[in-house]
Amino acid sequence: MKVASKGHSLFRIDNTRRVWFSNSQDKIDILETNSKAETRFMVSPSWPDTLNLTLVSPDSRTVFSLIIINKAGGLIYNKTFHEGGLNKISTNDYLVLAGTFHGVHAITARLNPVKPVAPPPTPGTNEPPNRPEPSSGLEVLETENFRMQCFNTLTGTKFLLFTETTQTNVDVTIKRIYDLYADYVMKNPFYSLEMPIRCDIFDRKLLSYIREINNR
Amino acid sequence: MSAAIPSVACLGVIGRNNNPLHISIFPSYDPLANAFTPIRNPLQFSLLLSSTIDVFDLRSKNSTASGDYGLLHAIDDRLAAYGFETNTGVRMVCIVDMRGRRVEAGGSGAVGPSAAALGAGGGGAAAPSMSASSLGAGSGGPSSLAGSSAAAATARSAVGSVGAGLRDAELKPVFRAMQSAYVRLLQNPFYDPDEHAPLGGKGGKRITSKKFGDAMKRIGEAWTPGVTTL
Amino acid sequence: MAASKASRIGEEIWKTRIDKVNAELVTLTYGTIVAQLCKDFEDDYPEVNRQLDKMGYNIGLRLIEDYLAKSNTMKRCSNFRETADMISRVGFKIFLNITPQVTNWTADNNSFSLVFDENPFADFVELPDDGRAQNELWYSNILCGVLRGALEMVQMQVEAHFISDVLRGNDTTEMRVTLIRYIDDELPPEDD
Repeated sequence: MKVASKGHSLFRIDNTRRVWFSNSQDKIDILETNSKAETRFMVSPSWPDTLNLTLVSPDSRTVFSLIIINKAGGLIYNKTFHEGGLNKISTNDYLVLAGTFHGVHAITARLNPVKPVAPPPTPGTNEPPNRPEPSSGLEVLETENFRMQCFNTLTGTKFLLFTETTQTNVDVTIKRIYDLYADYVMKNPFYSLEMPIRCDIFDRKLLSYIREINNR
Repeated sequence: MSAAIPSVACLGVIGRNNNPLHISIFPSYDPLANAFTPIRNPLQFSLLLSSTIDVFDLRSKNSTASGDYGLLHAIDDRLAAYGFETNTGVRMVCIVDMRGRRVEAGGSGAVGPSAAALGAGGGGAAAPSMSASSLGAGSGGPSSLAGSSAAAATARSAVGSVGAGLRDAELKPVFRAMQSAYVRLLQNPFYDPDEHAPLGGKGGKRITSKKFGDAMKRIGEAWTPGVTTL
Repeated sequence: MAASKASRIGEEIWKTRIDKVNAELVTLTYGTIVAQLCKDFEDDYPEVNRQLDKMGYNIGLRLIEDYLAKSNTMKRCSNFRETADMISRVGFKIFLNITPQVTNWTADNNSFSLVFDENPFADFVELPDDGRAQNELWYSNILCGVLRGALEMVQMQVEAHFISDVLRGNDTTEMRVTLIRYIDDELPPEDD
């Protein structure tokens, strides 16, 4: 995967193919986003006038999918909102993705530069011992086609939101999803903690909220 | 020179199975002894309360919407029973002693009984399903129960002779306060209404709540004619 | 975070983000639960206390997410004193609209008391006068469980119990909360 840098532009040929102008403008990649294996071919810059290109404008923002990982690294929720945004992978692969991400997150949290340790409270004074802020670990992962933002709650549950790279206000979106989770998952008395989420109302509320964003 | 004014002699709560839920007795001023003593003994009060049940039944047939029955009957020239019935069939009775309290002429206010009112259900004179008709057989029963309307007239004239007449409305604050005390009692999760008046059954346990007893005591001691809130 | 700021946050959330419900409904519901437990366990009050604590624990495990989402908490408290302030001024504020006083800190800052001037659960309540409930039943014990469950989810193992209750005739209602340890992310021991 190539980590995208700022300043690129993305065009859509049709639902499955996109054209990618890289920063230096000296090459164009055409990505077959819907095929099983990602094919990428190089074309010369003069070639595009035979193509009908639509600019994927910053206005068309799409939330592709949501994954929720419990604090043990298990996948407890997985929902795709937009067909064609991301390739389909098998349920098993999703489980592996969740587990792997959980591990990677834990390691990146330890990679974080060590913060200066707070001086221990001077004996005799009434200062409470401080509890240092933990390092956050991996927060955003950007690729050519999508951006993945991770929101790690204080209880250790992780929300991974896959969006288009141009998506803005992902923080707000994730916070709202967290609200819905707190309301419709945690407050459902028949939901067992740490288990896969099968809550109809949560599904409905989530879908209608994401649809609102995707249709904006 | 002193004058006598009405005071509460007894407050009673009767359950929907005609079972006694609560009885509070308050001492009246006795000018002869210059002291506060209850005008009747607990058994007599219990019988008086039982005697009101028939009046309730009679009145409820040509029912008033409010449940406030006003004067039920006058017992003699001093005592009169007033009643109120909730929609759930709980009856509250207030027996008023028309000369229960003394006011110094020109004095600022009534002299209340300093002694504590007798405790709820004191004497243990429980007569759960005794009706008024059987009351005559009771040894300690008051003599003048027959012809209650005549007695009421007597009572009213008696009242008239000692002070202002007692209108039914004067008792409204008492019943309002009793009802809200009863509502608070029901809100206690450990109070089980079914225990106190089993559906379709007979009898039922008395109210043992201290809070409710205290509320009754406060109401009985605080009321005088003209009081609007208790 | 300063205590006054915590109060402001609590007030703000209470005003804008909380769905309100009739207080009597809450009081009667909780009262019915306790009374039913007393019936089911045949007035074995220590067992009723345990059951209430357990129910509270399960509530706490879930409620913490609501607390974090509503309060928009992104950072964990930097010490236990801050935790205590947040519990009182935000937690109790938004869920029960009360702010119990935080007092009686021990010297090592690991243990404090919450003194409840008002307790919406205990309105109208009179404990059964069987001679034992007054000494054995902690009517609001569910709150201890809630705190224990909620704090455990944010990596704090605490112990909470009531030490006095106005329902028992004490002057105050006081809960003692003690931090046992921070459950820091324990990685499995490395295979060397």
